[in-house]
Amino acid sequence: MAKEFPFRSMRDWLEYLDDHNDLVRVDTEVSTVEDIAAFDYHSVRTPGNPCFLFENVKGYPGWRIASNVHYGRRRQAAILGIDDVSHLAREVGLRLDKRVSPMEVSTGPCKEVKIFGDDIDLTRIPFCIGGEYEGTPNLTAGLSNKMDPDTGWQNIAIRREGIAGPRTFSEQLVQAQQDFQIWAKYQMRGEKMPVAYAIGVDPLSYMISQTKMPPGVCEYDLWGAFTGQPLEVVKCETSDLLVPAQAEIVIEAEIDPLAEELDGPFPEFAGYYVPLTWTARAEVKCITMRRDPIFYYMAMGLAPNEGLDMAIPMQAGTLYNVLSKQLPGIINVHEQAHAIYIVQVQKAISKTIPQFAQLVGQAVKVAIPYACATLVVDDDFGEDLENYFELVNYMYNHFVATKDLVVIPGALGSTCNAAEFYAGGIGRYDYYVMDLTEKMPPWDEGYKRGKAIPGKGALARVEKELWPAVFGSALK
Amino acid sequence: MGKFDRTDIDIEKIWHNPSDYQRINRRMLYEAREWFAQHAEELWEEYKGKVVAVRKGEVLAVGDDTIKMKAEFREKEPEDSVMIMLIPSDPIRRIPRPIDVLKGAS
Repeated sequence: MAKEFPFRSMRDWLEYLDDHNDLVRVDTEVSTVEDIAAFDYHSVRTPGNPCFLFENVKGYPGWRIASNVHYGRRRQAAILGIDDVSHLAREVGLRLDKRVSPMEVSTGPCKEVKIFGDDIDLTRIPFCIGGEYEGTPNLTAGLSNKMDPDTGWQNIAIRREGIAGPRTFSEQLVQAQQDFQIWAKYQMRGEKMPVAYAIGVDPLSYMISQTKMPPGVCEYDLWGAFTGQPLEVVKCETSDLLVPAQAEIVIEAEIDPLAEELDGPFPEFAGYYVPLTWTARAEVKCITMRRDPIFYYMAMGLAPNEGLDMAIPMQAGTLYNVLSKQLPGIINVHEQAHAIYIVQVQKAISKTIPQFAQLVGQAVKVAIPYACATLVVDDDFGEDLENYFELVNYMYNHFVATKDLVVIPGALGSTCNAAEFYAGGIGRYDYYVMDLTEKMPPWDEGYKRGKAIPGKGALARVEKELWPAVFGSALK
Repeated sequence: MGKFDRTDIDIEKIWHNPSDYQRINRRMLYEAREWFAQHAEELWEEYKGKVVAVRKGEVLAVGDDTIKMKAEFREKEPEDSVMIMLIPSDPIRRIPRPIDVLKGAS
């Protein structure tokens, strides 16, 4: 039977892609050292953005590696069960309050094989190197699960974990993220923090991990917001953490409150390498997996890349959800690049409420503490917030820096922004808001002049009559 | 049985019978990494701004160009057995830990 939404495992999703001729199965030998990352690099710059299942991995007989399967709005809409691809973020935002708690089951495919003690050896898993400056491989597609020791709240996020040894990971925990705040509690207690990295989970779990929920809300609750059903989870072997039962691989570890590990350099989705850094050290305690596991590699580095692309509708959807409760006139939200947001508002509102764009910008910063910038546009921008040319047009025609720019110096940064070194050091950045909306008189000259495009009548006549006559098919 | 379920793969057997690549090359790479971390401060003092090729316990080569050094080692060493790392010019950064902040405040 053909696989349809909701997809309960990564291999269900692979089957759907394969059935729709949207999966390239590669039997040519490839190396984990940069080859797979290079396939992804070319794919996201190629029409159709092929995604892959590599079935002949050098040095890893029997292992398969999937990649790029969450790239592109069309695939993401199918994963989320949303038909309206052009308003993906808004549709995500509208669903985020309908949460369903996950359902714990006694066991699952991720428990078919269990490895403890001296048998633990990360050299046996085909971790990949994605960039030429990486000294050793990184785990790029692990859901990092951590639990608040006071409340039992479980937080899920994708982090980059460096493979620092056969039984050791490094993990950068940064102050603008919720898991840093959980780590702080373990440090105060002088206790080790359990962590579980789930690799090769179902595609919806990957996507919901990219939302920004308030403390106390587990991202797994959002699986049901999209499907109406609970996500099946299973308890870890060495802690009370819950992980998706259908995961391909789960690596359980403990992060020492004091021990440090050298991390990086690794390609981050902000576009540059994160440099060598002393950070948290995780000791692996157990590995569980399917009997025939499929590893997952998620490309990071210079955009476009799968990691950032998958996060865009989810982070923008989170913002839509939060902003539309706090402010009137929010139409849509988009994440243009890492931590740079475009918020579209109704002109009727933005022209009525003084400093409305600043209000929007400050609300964004509260919802996503590491936000770098917010650009506020209005209805006239059109429906496609990913239209780069229109954005540049707005920055040219509707923006006067001395009047329309608000800067909050020394605000929290993301730690992967290379410009933070100018702004005061790691984790600090001058957050700014650009007001690109139509201004109150007399600053609406451009609008009085009108947009310089052919008339609606001519556009419709070419679309409906002349284009099909010339090309023999409808304008797409 | 799903289309991507494979009965011919048994990870337990594979796990306990690793390929030479996993058993030798990858292990050497991770051991190089561990040794590098243990000696990071002194290596930074000596080689900051340089590219180093590291094997457990020794620096095999020092240069300025990562791509060139990778190409050289690809010729003479098994793939992935040597860690080639650009050492930053600035001191290795440290993400502040909550416990450090508290110590500073007391």
